[in-house]
Amino acid sequence: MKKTTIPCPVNSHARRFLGACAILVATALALGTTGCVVTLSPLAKSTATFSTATATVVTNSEAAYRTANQLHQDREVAAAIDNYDTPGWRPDTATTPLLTPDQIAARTKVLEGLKAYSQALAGLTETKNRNQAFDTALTTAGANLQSLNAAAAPPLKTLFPSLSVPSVSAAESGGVATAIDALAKLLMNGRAKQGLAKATTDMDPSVQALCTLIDSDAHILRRQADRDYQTPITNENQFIQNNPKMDPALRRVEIAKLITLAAQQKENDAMLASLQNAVQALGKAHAALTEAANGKDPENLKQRLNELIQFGTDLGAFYASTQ
Amino acid sequence: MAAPPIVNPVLDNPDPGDAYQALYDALGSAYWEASDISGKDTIHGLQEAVGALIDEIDQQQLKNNTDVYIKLNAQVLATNAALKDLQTSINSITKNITTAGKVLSSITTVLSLFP
Repeated sequence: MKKTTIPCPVNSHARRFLGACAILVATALALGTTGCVVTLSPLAKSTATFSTATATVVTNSEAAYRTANQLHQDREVAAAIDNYDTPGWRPDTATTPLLTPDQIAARTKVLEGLKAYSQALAGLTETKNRNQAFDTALTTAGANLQSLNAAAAPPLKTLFPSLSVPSVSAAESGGVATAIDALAKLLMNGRAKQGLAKATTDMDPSVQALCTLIDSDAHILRRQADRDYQTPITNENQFIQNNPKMDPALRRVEIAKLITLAAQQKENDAMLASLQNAVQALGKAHAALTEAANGKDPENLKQRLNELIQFGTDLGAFYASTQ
Repeated sequence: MAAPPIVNPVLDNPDPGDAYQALYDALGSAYWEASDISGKDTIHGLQEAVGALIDEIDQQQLKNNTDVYIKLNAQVLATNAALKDLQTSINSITKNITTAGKVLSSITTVLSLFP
């Protein structure tokens, strides 16, 4: 079948213009990449570590609130039973939660926000998946560049007869594609690096305030847990002391309860102390990440992340042992 | 722009709960050291009264902290939204390359129409 040619008065101008544009754009892209390197690799690894450790701290902070609330509820129920004969006693008002559902929700929202933030930072600096998506897109663009070669090179030679206008061979097309690849990754990594510096700098005061708050909460929870254990321990002992004629076997069981409660109190307090350590380490690690994202003191970040991992692991182990 | 510092008076001042906690612990020790049940009863009553004060202080501090959490949440959400925008902007580079490929393809098609 004979090819149909569409007559066009600006035929040669159009060809020259389009062909020149294509080659010049490709050349500009190639030239633009020389001498610039933006690497995210060390920061990406640190950010991913920070994100993982943050998730551990967040998960265990939420568990600490639930545990503390349940512990408090147990004490409240025991007290409500003791107060059953008090005038005005009502089951729906006999207990008061340590943290109301709204107060728990306020904490959970911010903690989940912190987790999402750390994951977003990790996503920003993660290059593997992004590069794969980009390479797929570039393969298509590269194929189109080669198909442009045959059509664009002749009009360029007509347009610039005195110049040695490069015809885009397959190899050169590949070279241009490589240049585009380098430039785009430079742009993406550069934006990611700038974004990481800005986001961590903007967020650091909030992260520090949040860590101070969780630390403060944990301090209060430790104090309340002390009450939640001391009260039943003392009440139990009062029961034993006020019933001297108790059956000896039952007496042994009741005394064993005292020892069990004291051991549980010690373990619970250690968990909350561990949460405080982890939260303080989280604040320091974020401050170090902010500095490193701004090009300062990468060694400090390494040290702070190691501390965070250590405290996060301790904390995770504590809560795993109670599940 | 960096977020303004969060102010929480409770966090900036000595914790009254700690002072009562020290008294509560001292009474706890005294309870176990008391040799007769009458003394234990008296100390237990005192300790519970101090404990009730600690409960009040802790409830108030948790409430104050809740207010700061609520303020913080807005800042965290704003930063997360900015990060999402940035991620979208970075992803658009990949999309731009796809678009550029389509443009190149279109140019080739146009040139083939005007030999």
